Amino acid sequence: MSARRRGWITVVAALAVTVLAGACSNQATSGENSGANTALPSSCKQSKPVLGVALPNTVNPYYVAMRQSFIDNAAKSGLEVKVAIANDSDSNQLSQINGFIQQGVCAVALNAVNSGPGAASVAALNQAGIPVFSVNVIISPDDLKTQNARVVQYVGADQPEGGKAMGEQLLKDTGANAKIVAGIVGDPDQIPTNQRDQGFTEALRANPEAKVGPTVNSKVDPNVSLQVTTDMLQGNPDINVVFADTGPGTVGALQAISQLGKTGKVTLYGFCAANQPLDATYRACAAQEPADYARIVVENVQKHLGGGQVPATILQPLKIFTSGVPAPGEVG
Amino acid sequence: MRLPDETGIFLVLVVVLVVLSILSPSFATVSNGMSLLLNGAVIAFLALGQTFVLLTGGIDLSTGANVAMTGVLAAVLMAADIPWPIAALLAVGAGLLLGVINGLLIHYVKVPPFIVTFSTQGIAIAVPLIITGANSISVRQPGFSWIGQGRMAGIPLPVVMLIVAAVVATWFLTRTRWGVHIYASGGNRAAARLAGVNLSTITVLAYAVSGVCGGIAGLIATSRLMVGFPATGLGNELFFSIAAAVVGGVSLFGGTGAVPGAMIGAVLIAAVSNGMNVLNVSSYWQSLVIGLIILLGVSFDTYRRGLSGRSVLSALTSASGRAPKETAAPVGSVPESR
Repeated sequence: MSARRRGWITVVAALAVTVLAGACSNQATSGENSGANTALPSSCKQSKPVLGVALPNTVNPYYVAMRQSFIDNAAKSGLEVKVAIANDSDSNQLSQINGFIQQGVCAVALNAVNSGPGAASVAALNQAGIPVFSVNVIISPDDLKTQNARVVQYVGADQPEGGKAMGEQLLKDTGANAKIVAGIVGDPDQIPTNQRDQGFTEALRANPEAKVGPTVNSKVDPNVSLQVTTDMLQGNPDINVVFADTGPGTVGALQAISQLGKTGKVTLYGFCAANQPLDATYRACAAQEPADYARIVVENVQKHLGGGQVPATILQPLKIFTSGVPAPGEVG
Repeated sequence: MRLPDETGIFLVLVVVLVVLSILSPSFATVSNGMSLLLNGAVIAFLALGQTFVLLTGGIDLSTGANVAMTGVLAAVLMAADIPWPIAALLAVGAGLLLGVINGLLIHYVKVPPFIVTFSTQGIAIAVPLIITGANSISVRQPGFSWIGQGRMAGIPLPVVMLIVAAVVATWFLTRTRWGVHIYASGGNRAAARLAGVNLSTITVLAYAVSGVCGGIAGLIATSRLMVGFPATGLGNELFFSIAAAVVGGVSLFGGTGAVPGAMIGAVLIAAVSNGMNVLNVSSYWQSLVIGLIILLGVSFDTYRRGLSGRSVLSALTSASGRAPKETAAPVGSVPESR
């Protein structure tokens, strides 16, 4: 290769590197934040703006109720809804969010699969200038900060209060100084369920005779809950209270207590299972109202699109049941 | 004397049971033993079906989804006032149909088993979601609970059903012509065809057995909960069913292994899962331990294949350099119990 040709290649390569370097950008490090921009996407000027709704799954009755409410309330508000179901995969959800961006939706209601990874979806939407309303699963504030992203609003249940209410109900039922050994049927991988467990544990501190024992992972699946609750009760015969922090977890835990012949010896407190009546074993439950959260989100999206101010956080109290059957849509 | 191939994994199971019993007195109780077997019954049934498929050199990825489909189908049929025995039979029939479709597609359309069963897995996942709108369906016929919650002489009925199924399957695979053909088709497909084995019948049969096992597992899971839940069986069930069979000595490459090994593998996985919950081990560690056990099992299988059919124990005892006395059977390695 001649010296002249080598020189040309060097110049072209240097130019290419310069152009590529100049074209590089990263929202997390550049300080840009379209989410802070109050300007709405042009698609919001359409006669029927599109609201993208991203949900983790629809095998949990909780999300079925939420999806239906989004559809119903958006129709009343003159919005079109596009629902994306992530099948509990963070990467699926991010792809679906990118799909919403390509389709030019006006706003997105995001129920993230997981609290941390959800920040990437928020950042992508911020970059496209699409306002994000997070619902049910709070997006990790640290991850939002790291990615220089923000949501317009969070709507969800007051999770620690739900757990605390169950703990207080337990103390009320058993008396202030009763000997309590509680096992938790939880989902230790999720922030909201851990918050419920913390609330429950804190409430029991009022009784010096109460002890919170092991936590098993029900994976929000009744079948897994049945298995792990059975194991937990076999390994810890002194447990006399089970706290199940999700509706599907409650279904399995209830069956485990019954099938081990521990009815009358172990009581269950938890987040409400769909269509499950309360009785002498299943003493109390806390219900979220996913349909209500969806309604609130739609109302606030509409307000935001109209130029109004919306509160950054709306925490809804949980509904406590000690008898009867929670109505459809009132689930944990 | 050559020890059975399952000796190694059986010793591992014994060691695990002894260690867990020492660590927790609650583990070594009859009641916990029954819970352990009951919790492992669904995985064991799936592993039993998976064994038939793996022996032919195939794989069934639709088996976990089959649990969801048949369980919800049974619940929906019962909700439509169909008596539970008929609903249960129809649900198992749906599982059988799924298996037969898998087998037909694999043999006649020549699509690899991985792709066919992956596709039917998607279909079987969707069916209960479409039927129920993703809602769970409560079972209101108390008699149905007998399948998953009944006991016979104090032993949970699913465990009794599993033992009967495992004995029949072992007899079928080791004492009948079709059983030998299943081993042959997985050991050397071309040689088996030239030897007159009807590969289409064998392939469809193996996947049909897997489909029926998936259907029975679906009934057990739904009967234990008395709720048809569209996501039941979609967790670790598929992974554990393959792992149980492979850890128990059933080769992923076909032709080698036996039902008792797969059953020991299933009990091992159930024992480890149960033991860790009984010992209050954090769920974060449980996947790691089970993953390591599966990795060891698969490594064991690969090593064994490298020994050209000799048992691992005999290889270890002849490590001083003696020549192997045993060689692989030409078409599949049928267990010695034949």
